[in-house]
Formats: sequence, structure tokens, C-alpha cells
Amino acid sequence: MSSELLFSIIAIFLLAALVPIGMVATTILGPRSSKEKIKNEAYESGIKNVLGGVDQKFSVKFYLITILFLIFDIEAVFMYPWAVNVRELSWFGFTEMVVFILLLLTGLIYILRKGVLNWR
Amino acid sequence: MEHTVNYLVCIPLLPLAGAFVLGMMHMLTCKNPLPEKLYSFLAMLGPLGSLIFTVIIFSTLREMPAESRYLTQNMFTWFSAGDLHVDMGLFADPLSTLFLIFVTFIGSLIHIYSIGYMAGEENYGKYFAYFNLFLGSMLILVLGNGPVVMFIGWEGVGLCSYLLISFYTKDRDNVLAGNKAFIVNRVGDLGFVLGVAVLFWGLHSALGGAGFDYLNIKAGASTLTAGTGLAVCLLLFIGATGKSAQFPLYVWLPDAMAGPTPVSALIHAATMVTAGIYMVARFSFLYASYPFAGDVVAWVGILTALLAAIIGCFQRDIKKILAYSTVSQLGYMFAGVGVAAYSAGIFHVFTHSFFKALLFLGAGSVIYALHHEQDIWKMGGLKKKMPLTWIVMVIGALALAGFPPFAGFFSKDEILFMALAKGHWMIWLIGVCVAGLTAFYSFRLIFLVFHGKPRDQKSYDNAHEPPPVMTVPLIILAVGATFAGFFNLPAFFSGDSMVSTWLAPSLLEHHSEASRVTEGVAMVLSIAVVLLGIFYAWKKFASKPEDKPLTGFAKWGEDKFYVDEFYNAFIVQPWIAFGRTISNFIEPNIVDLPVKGTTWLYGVLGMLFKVFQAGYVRVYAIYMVIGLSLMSIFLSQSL
Amino acid sequence: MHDLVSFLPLVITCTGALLLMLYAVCPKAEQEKASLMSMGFFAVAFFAQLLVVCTVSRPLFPETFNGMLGVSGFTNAACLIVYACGFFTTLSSHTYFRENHFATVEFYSLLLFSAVGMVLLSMARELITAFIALEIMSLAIYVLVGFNRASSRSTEAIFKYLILGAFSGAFFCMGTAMIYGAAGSTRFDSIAEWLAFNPATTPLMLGGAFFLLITIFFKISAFPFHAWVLDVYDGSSNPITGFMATALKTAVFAMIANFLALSGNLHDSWITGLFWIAVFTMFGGNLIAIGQDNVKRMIAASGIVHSGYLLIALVAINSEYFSGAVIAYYLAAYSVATLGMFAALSWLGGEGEKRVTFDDFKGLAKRQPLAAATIAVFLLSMAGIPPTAGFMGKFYIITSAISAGQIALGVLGIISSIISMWYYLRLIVSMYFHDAEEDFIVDGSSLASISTVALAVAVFAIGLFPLVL
Repeated sequence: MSSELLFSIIAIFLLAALVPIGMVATTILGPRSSKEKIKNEAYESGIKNVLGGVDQKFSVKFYLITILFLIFDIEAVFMYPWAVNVRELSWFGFTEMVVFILLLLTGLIYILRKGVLNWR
Repeated sequence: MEHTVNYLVCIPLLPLAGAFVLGMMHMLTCKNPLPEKLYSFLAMLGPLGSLIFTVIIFSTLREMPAESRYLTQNMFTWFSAGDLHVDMGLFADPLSTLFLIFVTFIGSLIHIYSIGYMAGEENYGKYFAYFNLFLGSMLILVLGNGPVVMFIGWEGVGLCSYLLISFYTKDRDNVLAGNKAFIVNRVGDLGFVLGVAVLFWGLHSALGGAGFDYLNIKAGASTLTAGTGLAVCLLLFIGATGKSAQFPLYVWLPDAMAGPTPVSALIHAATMVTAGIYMVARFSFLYASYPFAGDVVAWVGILTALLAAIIGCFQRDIKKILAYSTVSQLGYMFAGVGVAAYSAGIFHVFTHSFFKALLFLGAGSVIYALHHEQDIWKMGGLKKKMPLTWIVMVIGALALAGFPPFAGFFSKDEILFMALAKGHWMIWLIGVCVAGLTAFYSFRLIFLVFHGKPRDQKSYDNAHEPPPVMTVPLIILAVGATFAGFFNLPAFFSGDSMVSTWLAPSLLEHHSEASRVTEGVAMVLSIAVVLLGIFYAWKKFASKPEDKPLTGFAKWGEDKFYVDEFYNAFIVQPWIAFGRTISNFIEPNIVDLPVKGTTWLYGVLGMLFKVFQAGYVRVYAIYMVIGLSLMSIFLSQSL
Repeated sequence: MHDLVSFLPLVITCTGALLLMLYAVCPKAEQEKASLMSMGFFAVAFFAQLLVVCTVSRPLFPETFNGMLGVSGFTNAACLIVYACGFFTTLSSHTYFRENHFATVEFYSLLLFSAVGMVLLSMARELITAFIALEIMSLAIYVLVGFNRASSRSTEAIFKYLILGAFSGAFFCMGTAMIYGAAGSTRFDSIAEWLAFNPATTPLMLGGAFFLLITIFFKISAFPFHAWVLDVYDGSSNPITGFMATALKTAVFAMIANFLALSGNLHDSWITGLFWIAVFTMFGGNLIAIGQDNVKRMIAASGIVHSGYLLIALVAINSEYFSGAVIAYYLAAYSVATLGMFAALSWLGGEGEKRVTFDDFKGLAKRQPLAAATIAVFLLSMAGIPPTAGFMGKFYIITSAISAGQIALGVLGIISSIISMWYYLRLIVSMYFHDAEEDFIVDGSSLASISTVALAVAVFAIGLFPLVL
């Protein structure tokens, strides 16, 4: 067995060990309020009881909005490097970007007409 | 002279096309059949067209020099494997042309007769489709350029005989008779196939990839070793005994009477049964080199003739009598070809086809008139009611008995004389006895059917002559039965042996000379025996016949010497028991056991594997992880 | 411009998918019209691809789109199969949704999208492109599997498929990363260059290829990764099952064949592994199929076996002059038979797929002789009885295995195909040798029956014209 593989196996195990270590360390080292118990609980976007049961129910609209946000977020992410290089890529790059945005636009039209964005 | 022509194929093709068209029409219009006239018209086209082409071929051949008198047509290469090269080709020489002439001529007459006989029958179209197919197969058999093409026709007539014998399928006995004909023929066919295979095996180096046809076989026949040649001859003869109903395979022919009477006429006179004779004559160049094979053929033939004649004397069914007479006459023919008197044997085939067709069609008329009554003891005195039929039947019977100057006399006498001339005096003696028996049973039939007093008044009153469409063929055949013998008038009567001369190029024959005195004495003797037979029949049956139960030897004869029962007990039943044993014991317990075991094993394994399809995602994921881990272990070995 | 001509069919399919998506939000949208439209798109794409095959003659493996995609005779064949599968799937869907009322226009749009993914996957010449294509395809298929939201079976199927698919898809990313680590590129040509000077058994390369293969094995349901296939095939609607079993398998096999054919030493390093996987896949699949009573599950399990045969072909490919003809031929033969089978099931299944077990098809031959005859043809082709296409396909695979020196594999393939008669003939026995218990009255459009007959003819046509591909 080569040293390279041995190294990567050790790395994987270290990684696996670090997560519980970190979690335990924060509970021990973190500041705590002794008066108000609620302050000691983990906070996540207004969702109560993060460490509790995993079968808590959310409205599906949260997921929809999140996924749609991701898509258009990534669209913007793509546009930054293109904007930096727009001159070098010239018309070819421009056309490709137009095609990309048009594809996403059709998707946007679809979700709009389907009423996915209407919060009801 | 150009030997290749392109119209030979029309001869078998016309009836085959007719069979196809008629069969299609019949299948498509099964529910509401077309008018019978349409069928009969279409059915006539094939045989008549073949007859016309036959005449053309005959006249073409006549113009050729005798030593190279043949026509060929190669359609395509049927198959070619190693040294075996078989062309789908046709071959017409004097021998096959003679067969063509009477097959097409008599076939056409029987067709015409059938139009009347079958009128109003159910499945009229099917009958004529089979009939055309039968004729087409026979023509392929006769015209094929080699044993392999001949085999197509050989099997074709076997199939059609099966189809036509069991034509009245509603009666189980008819179907059984058809089965019997088919199965018995199959035994003979095996011999034929083996014979052809051995022939090729013996010849393949001599052929060297050239076509496996008669011309090449004949050219290479001298290279056969003695053992191989004898084996070929005997195996082919087994095939011939099947098709031509010789001992021990003759048993199917009397049962073949189950079919419509014209079918019996066609099978007995023009097609099928003559195939074996044709084949032996076709291979005359082989049989001539092996006298032992010839002796076997001759003895089997003459003993069959004797046996069938004895049985024929005691039968009650008019068609059975004629059937045994056919077997008997075929025995004569084999005796003829067996003693290397090929042209005599073939000539007897030729004349026999006339008078046997005549007798069958005449018998058909009687049966038709009496509404399907076939027992001669229930007939009698029909001479007054059916004078025409009486006349033609008497002509047929005289020809069959071999009474001069009718057709059978010349041909049969030629065979007997040849046997004597070649020194087979035992065969000659038996042959003369059989002639007497033949005369006896044929006139027993005539006297019982047409003379004396009617024994069944009711059917006698209703009897009448059949319509012209049936009587005209009878008259034509009667003329043929009377005069066909003169085609081969021997030198004794200062004739020129036309048929023998015509056949000479096709056959390898050694004529032996015997003194005129011997010939004359033999002839007189056989005529005397015939007269004795007729006289005895007249004495016994003409005036006061007595239908008393037969006893002793006669009883044996009436029951066909229990040959069928013997076959049934010693061949069929053991065979069936053998098959039962296989199907009940060996098949399920020995052959199937490994198969069943394997299926059981896999069934169990399949059930086990089904358990693993737990249906839980987590379980499936675990399988994946296990597989992944195992594969990783294997991979790490390869590093 | 040549790039665009070669990708014309892909552009057509993609445009079609988008147009159908927009059509779905029209107030007057009807799913029957959408099905006809998607039929049209598939047909046009198929003929465009045929046009490309016939007119564009170029050396194999030209790099297009900056080496992201590549076109070869093999990918062309794979694309043709995918388009044809799509076409016949829409035909059977048209009939299927006459009796099962849960289709919307999006169904057909997703079908086209998944076809886009498949075509991209079969043409991918770069690992990230391959991954994206794989996901386009898989996401669309996930939705299609779970399209019948009212059915708990369908929901269960999509759940299992999604979870396990995501689980296995992660390996692909991992493998890509490791191969990048080894070769310094994710492009096939660069990897091939690297492999020319380095052994394929370096840990990173071996591990990377291993993880890639895990994902592929999952998608084609090779042995230890096959467990999902029965439940998922059973839970999805008949046309979709047919589509998954054929087009998806075609695309995935095209991709992995392209990848393994990169370099001789890469392929050589996998021969032993593929050998065992192929053997286990064939026999495991057979054993599972024997135990099934449900026709759909039987076909699903037999799909595992067919993957095993294709793995034999993968073992036997030769990277020196890789044409993939054997694989493409077998895929075509298998696709025709399987699609036909599912078209017939779509047609005869009835409302809510009520006819599913072997016993449900008892006496079909007496009531619907044509349907029974075509099903028999498909089953015989799958079993590999001459003169069907399936026989020729198996014949080529086994001869190629033997000529590659894998005689044991060839013999095992033959044994496996003998075992497979068990369950194929069982359905034929049930159709032909039992009395009918019902009348098999099906209404719905005749399109599925037409496609059944067309595919039955194709079984013989492909069998008669061997290796035109």
C-alpha cells in the first residue's frame, strides 16, 4: 500500500473525528446564560427546537422558495466571472450568456405562471 | 442437338399451380363455396396442359437420334455442400416420357370422371386441389433429374395419398387407413433415403462436385464397389416395396380403398404405385450389374403376385378385389424388372394403367349406381341395367386376366416369356399359376356383379347408367385396354416391339433369345390356364352362386392370411408398448430428472434471493456499502 | 458550424422540452396534444440524427464545444436509440393515459428533458459534463417515476430511487475529484494522455475510476447495487419503466464505454473486476427474476441480467479500435424488445395497471392473439431465440468475449441465457396454454398497439440486418 493512500485514509479518519470533537468542545467552551434557558438553545432561522426531533413539519413553500433562490443565486454567481472576462470572450461569450439567461427566463416564466411564487 | 429446353418445368408446374389456386380458392370461400363448374374447369387446365406439353416433348424426342435422346432443364442450384451438388432440374428421356404420357393421359381422364363422381360432394374444391397436387408430385417424381429431386415427388405423392385416402375425414376408419398408408410408406421411404445416401457416399469421389443426377450417376456407376452397389440396390428396392405395395409393405394398398373411387383409380393406375417400378427401371444400370439384387426383386415380386392373387380370390368387397389384383400385377412388374426385362415390366405398367383405371372407374360406376354398396355378394344381374358398364368391365377383366388380344396379354406374356428365356423357370411357373388365379378372381367379380339374379332387389331397381361425363372416360379407357397391347407387338406376331425399341436408350437390357417354339408353347400354356380360370369361375359363380361361409384355407384367404393381424401383434403393438414405456417411465424419470432437478434448484435459489429484496432503502444502501467495501478490498490487492 | 450541425438533434430536443414547458402554463393546454407534440419532437430529432449520421462523415472522436462533448459512430447510435425510445415511450404514454388519469403536459416536457440529459451523457468527453448530464437525466427521471402522486407505490419508488440515487451520485463527484487529482484534468483526452505515460493502478486513478464505476453500476443496476431496481420499476408507470430500462441504460453504457475505451491500461486494470461484476450480475439477476410473480418486476430483474451481458461486452471491448458496435447492437436489440414489452403492458395493463402478474395474462392468446404474439416475440428476443434481434445481440457479445480471450465469460453468458428461459417462457406458457378468465377489453388509443406491432417487426428487422450500426 502506497504512502499516498495511507495518508488519505488517515485524513479521512481525522476528518471524521474532528466533527464530534468540535461539537463537544463548543458545549464545554462556549459562554452560557444560567438565567434564561432559551438563550442556551441553538438558533436557526426562527425554527424552534433544532436539536429536537427530525420529523418536524415545514410548509413545502419553504423548500420551493429555497430551491428557486438557489437557482437564481447561482445564475448571478455565473455572471460575475463572465462580467470580468466579457471583453476577451467577446460575442461568443455574449451569445452563450444570452442563451443561458434565456433558458432560465423560460423557467422563471413557468414558475410565475404556475403560481409557485404566490405565498398563499 | 440441343438438350436443354425451358418448357419441361411447365409439366409439373401446371398441376401444382392449379393445386395452389384451387386450394386458395377453397380456403377463402370455405363458408359459401363457388360453383362446382368453376372448380372443375380450373382443375382440368393443369392435367390437360401437362398432356399437351408431354406430346410436344414426345415429338421432340422422336426427332433426336436414339443414342442421345434426352432433354434437360436446370432451374437453379438447390443446394451444394462439399461434393454434394444438387440442381433443381428436370430430365426427360424415353422412359420418363412414356410415364408422362400415360400419367397425364389417364390422370386427365380420371379428372373428367371425377367431375361426375364427386358432384355434390362437400369439399369439392379441396378434392381437386389435392388431385392436382397429386398429379404434380407424380410428374416431379417422373421428371426429376436425380434421386434427390425424385424424392420431392416421392414424398409428394405419399402426402397426397394420405390426404386423399382419408378424404372423408368424418369416418375414423378412413383416417386410420390414411395413417396406415402414410406410415407404411414411411418405412419404405427410409429405405429410399438410405439408398440414395449410400449411393452418394459410394460415388462422391467419382462425382467430384458435379451434379448428383442420373447422367452423372450412370457415368460413375462403374466405380461403385460391389458391396456398396448391392446395398444401394436393395435399399432402393425397400423404398420401391413401400410405394409400389410389395411384400412385406403391401398392406396399405387394400386399405387405401377408403378414399373416393377415382382416387383409388389414380393411385392404382397412373401414379404412386408405379413409382417403385419407375425407380427400379431408372436405376436399371445398377440393377443390371447385380444379378443377386435382381433375383431378390423378381422373387419378392412374383411371390407378392401369388399371395395377392390368392387373397383376391376370397374377397367380398369389389374394390378390395381390384386392390389385390393391383398388388398382384405390380408383383408381375417387379418380376419383370427383376429378371432384367425392364421394357417388359414398364410395358406392363403402361397397359396395366389402362385396364386398371378402366376397372376402377367401372367399379366406381357400379358403386355410384348402387349408392355406395361395395359387397359383390349384394350385387348381381346388373348386366341388364348397366350394359355399357358391363361391356367395359368385361374388357377390363379380359385385359387383366391376360386374354388375347387384350392389352394385358401382350405385356404379361412378355414378362413371363422373358423370365423363361432368362432361365428363371420357377418364376415363370408361378407366374402362369398367378395368371390362372387372376382370370379366376376377375371373372368371379364379373359373374357375381353382372350375371345371375339380383340378390338385393331394392338397390337393383334403383341402379342406372352413370352420366356421360363418367361413361366417356370409360369408353376411351376401354379402347385403350383393348388395343394398348399392340404398341409392343412382339416379333412372334411379326410385330416390331415399338415400346421396347423406344425405351431401349433409357434402359440397360440384355435380350436373350429363345426359340420360337418355346415362346409359342409358353403362350399357349398361359392362354390355356387363363381359360381354365375363367371356366372355373363360370362354373362356380355364373349360374348358382352360393354365399356360404368360407372354411379352412379359403377362410385364411378371406382374412388376408392374417398378415395385418400379424403386423399388429408383432410390430405395431410392441412398438406402441415401447413408446408407452418411454413416455411413461423413461421420459419423466430419466430424461426429465436433471431438468426437473435444475428447475427445482433454481426455484429454491430464486425464492432465497427474493428474501433479500427486503424493500427497505436502508437495506439496499447497506448492500451497496457491503459491495463497495468488498470491491475496495479486492482493489487494494491489485495495488 | 459543424459543431452545431452535429448537435442539431440535441438542440431540437432541448427546444422541444422548453416549448412544452411553456405550453404547460397555457390556459388551454391539453396533455393529449402535448403527447402528440413530443412525439413530433422525438421523431424530428431522430431523423435529424439520422441525417447527421448519413451526411457528416468525420474521423472518430472529434472534440467539440472545447472538448466537452464528442461525436462518434457509437454516440450517434446511442443517440438514435435514445430518440427512438423516447418516441415509442410517448406513443405508449398516449394510450396509457387514456385509462390512467394523472398525466399533465409537464410529463412530456420532462421526458424530453431526460432525453437531453441522456444524449449529453452519451456524448460527454469530460467528467464534469458527464456528471451534469447524469443529473439532468436523473432529476427528470426522478420526477417521472413519482408522477402518480396519488399512488403510494409510486411515491415509495421515487423515494427509494432518489435517496439511493443521491447516495450513489456522490461517488461520481468523489471519483471525478480523485481522477483530477491524479491526471490533472477532467477531460477525457487529457486523462488518456496521462494514462499513456502512467499506470492506471496508481491509487488516485484506481480509486477515482472505482468511484465513477460505483455510480455507473448503480445506474445500470449491476449486482450489489441492483436492489432498488425492482421496487422502482414496479412503482413507476409502465411507459416510464420502459423508458428507464432502455434509454437510460443506453446512455449510461455509452458513457462508461467511452470512458473505459480511453486507454488500454485503464481498461486492463478493470477486466478482473468487471468480470466478477458481470458474472454476479447475470446470475444474481436471474435468481431474482425466477422468484417474481409480477411481470413488471420480472422484466426489471431481467434488465439486471441484460446489464450483465452488456458488462461482458465492456470486458471485451478493445480500446485500440473501439467502435462499440457490439454494445450498440445489443442495446438496440434489448431496447426494442423491452420497449415493446412495456408498450404492450401500457396497452393491456388497463386502468390502474390492474393486470400485472403472470396469472393476469392467462389465456391472452385466445382473446387477443395479436397482442399475445407480439409479447411472445419480445420475450423470445429477450431470451435470445433465433431469428430475433436478441439472439444476434447475444451472439455478437459472446463471440466478442471469446475473441477477447474471455472464454469462461462467454460460456457463463450462455448458461445464464439458458436459465433466463425459465421466466420468459413462463409468461408465454401463461398466455398460450391457459384458458382465458377475462376478455381483456381495453379502450384507449391504438397508438400503443401500433407501436407494439412496429417494435415486433423491428425485432426481426434488426435481427435480419446485423450490425448496420
